Formats: sequence, C-alpha cells, structure tokens
Amino acid sequence: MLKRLMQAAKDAGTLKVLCETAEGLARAEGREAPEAEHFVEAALTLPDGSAGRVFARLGLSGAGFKAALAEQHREALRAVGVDGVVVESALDVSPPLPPAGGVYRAAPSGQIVVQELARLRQRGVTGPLAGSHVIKVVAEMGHGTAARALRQMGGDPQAFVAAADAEIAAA
Amino acid sequence: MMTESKIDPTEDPEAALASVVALRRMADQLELQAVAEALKRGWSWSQIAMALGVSKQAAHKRLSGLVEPPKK
Repeated sequence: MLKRLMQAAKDAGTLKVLCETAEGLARAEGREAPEAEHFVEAALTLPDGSAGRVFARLGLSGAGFKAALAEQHREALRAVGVDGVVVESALDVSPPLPPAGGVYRAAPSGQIVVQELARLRQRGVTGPLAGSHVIKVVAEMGHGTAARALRQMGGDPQAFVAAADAEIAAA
Repeated sequence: MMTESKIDPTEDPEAALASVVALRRMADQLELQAVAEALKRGWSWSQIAMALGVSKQAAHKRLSGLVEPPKK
C-alpha cells in the first residue's frame, strides 16, 4: 500500500515535469498550448532516458523527431501546392510566447496524452511513469502531427508501440 | 509559391487533414506576425478586428495575450 502511494507521488512529479516541459517547448516556438509532439519532445528530455531507448530499439534517434515534424509539415504544405519560400517561412519558429499563467491548459492532442498517461495504471501498465510511456500513448493515437512525424522517421506507430512495450517490460 | 494541389481528400483523408493542420498553423503564424506589426504601427484593436473580419472583443481575447505589446 505504502509502495503504491509512493509510486503515485513519484508519477505525479514526473507528470508535472512532463507537462511543464511540454508547455515550455510549445511556447518557446510560439504555440499557445502543448500538443502531443511537445510531450514526445519533453519525454526525450526526461532523465530516465527510456524515450530515447524506444527510438533506438527501432534503429532511430530521438534527436531526429523535431526534424521529422518539420519535414511532415513541409510535405503537407507541398501536397496542397504551397511551396518554396512560403513553406520555409511557415516552418520558421515564431517568436516565443510569454510563460502561460493560470490553469494548466494543453491543446486537444496534448490533453489526450495526459489522460492516457493517467489511464495507464487502469490498463495494467506497471513500473514508474517514464518517457517510454509517453511514446506508447502518442504512438497509440495513430493519427495527428506526432504520429505522422513518427511515420516520417520510418517507423510505423504500431512498431513504436511494440518498442515502447518492450522498453517498459525491460525497466 | 502556389503550385497545383496533389491532394484528393476523397482518396486520402489522412494526407488532406495533415495539410489542413499545416495550413492552419501557417495561417496562425502569419496572423500573429501581422497583428504584432500592426500594433507596432499604432493600429487599434478595432482596426485589426476589422481587417480580420471579426469583432474587436474576439480579436482582443484571442490574440492580445499572444503578441508583445508595442514598446512606448
């Protein structure tokens, strides 16, 4: 019982770090609230290192995720005929926004990540909350910018789910 | 630069929706940059709202916290 309570407290701390880091990353690039991709980037900065190991299990580097995000935006714009300087300007990082005040707010895809992370215990996933769990829930979303970036890197989201499960089991 | 669209939403909704997200993001970025510049040039929120085709309240509520107020 005590062990479970201590684990819950530690997980809450990790979730707080994840949420704050994701928000900081989003606002640094001029986005109002963190999206699922910002949670992936935040997971890659966690000291447990497990998010990076999920990518490594697929022969990929987590460091390539941000470039994959930009590339999938570039391709999506090209696909509707927007090309050249316009695209590069759109991919430029906007001026950073000031730190958010008030109640914590994530974009809809970010909210799904937080909700699914909170639901992991009910799904029987054990072990301390780690970056690998974030990769698992984002890959399970299947659609959206973050999932498309994972595909852009050459990994099917289902492969990321399997790699995350293997990493969680090995922890 | 605009070239011919290669997307057919009836064929590939995933790709079409990805383009919608990218276009929306591009529009958001353009809007923020333009509003910041307009404020710097002394435009009022009423003028910005008119240019965007929305109410002054809507423009101010949505954008005022996202752009740096011009330095006096």
